[in-house]
Amino acid sequence: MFACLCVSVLQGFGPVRLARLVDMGNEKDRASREAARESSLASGWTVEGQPAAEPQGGAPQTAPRADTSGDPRPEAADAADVAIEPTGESTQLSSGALVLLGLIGGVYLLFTFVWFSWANAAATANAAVIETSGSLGGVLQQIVFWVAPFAPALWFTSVLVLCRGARVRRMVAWLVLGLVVLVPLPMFGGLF
Amino acid sequence: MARKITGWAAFALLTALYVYMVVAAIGNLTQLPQMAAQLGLAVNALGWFWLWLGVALPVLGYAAALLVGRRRSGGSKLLILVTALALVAALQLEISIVVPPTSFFM
Repeated sequence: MFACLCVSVLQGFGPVRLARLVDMGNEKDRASREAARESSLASGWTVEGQPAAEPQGGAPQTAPRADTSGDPRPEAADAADVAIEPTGESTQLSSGALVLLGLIGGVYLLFTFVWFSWANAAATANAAVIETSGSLGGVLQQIVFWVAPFAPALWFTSVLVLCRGARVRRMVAWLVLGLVVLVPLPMFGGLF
Repeated sequence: MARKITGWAAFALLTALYVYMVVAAIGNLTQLPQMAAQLGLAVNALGWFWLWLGVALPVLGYAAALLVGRRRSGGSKLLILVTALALVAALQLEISIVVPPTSFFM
């Protein structure tokens, strides 16, 4: 997982650097850029030819989408992968935003851990009740108990998915709202 | 077609879980005062508030999820419904831990 993330980050960097270099170049040598040639930086390295259809007028920081840059990484279908990997966005997030998302995600992870411990306790207590009754309600109650710890991860995923392409400020506002709503108050039980 | 059926099945399953939460909360709302009465106790105002909140939370969560996801695609709708379900479950778990049941009675 971590290796995949590193590879995708490195791959994400490549097009950005290339796009900046390309922007620095003049329009007249576009034709030479489109053909494969030997790089002058280090011998033996070939700079691959660019497709002519790539838009040049866009912002230089805008990297191509992950799926068009020939990303060999298989599509992350896992919800946990989506939750910690914002590279599927249509626009690349700034590094400051990434750090902020990472910090908030860490707190969400902490919340998940706390909720898991509480859900475990509640489910264990409820299991004794089910053994005596064995009702459908008891089983459903266990499901409901075990859904609770996924709330932080689901909220994080939902915000990232639903705010795709929106401003970072809006995304962070929703994430902070989630932090307020999902704070595990039993954790501070000793304080009151 | 298969996608549609799967989507509706997931939707039905989630709705069933919401309905279960409402039914369980109504069960608490009706049974707990009876049990208290057998013990010679009565439910106080705060107790009624928490019991009614238990009924209201899943309903509000379901309504809010449908409201937020009303103009979104099927997958996003399901994601919002799951998130709201988990949120309501977490809040109910929180209430059950933070509020001691003995404080319901006078």
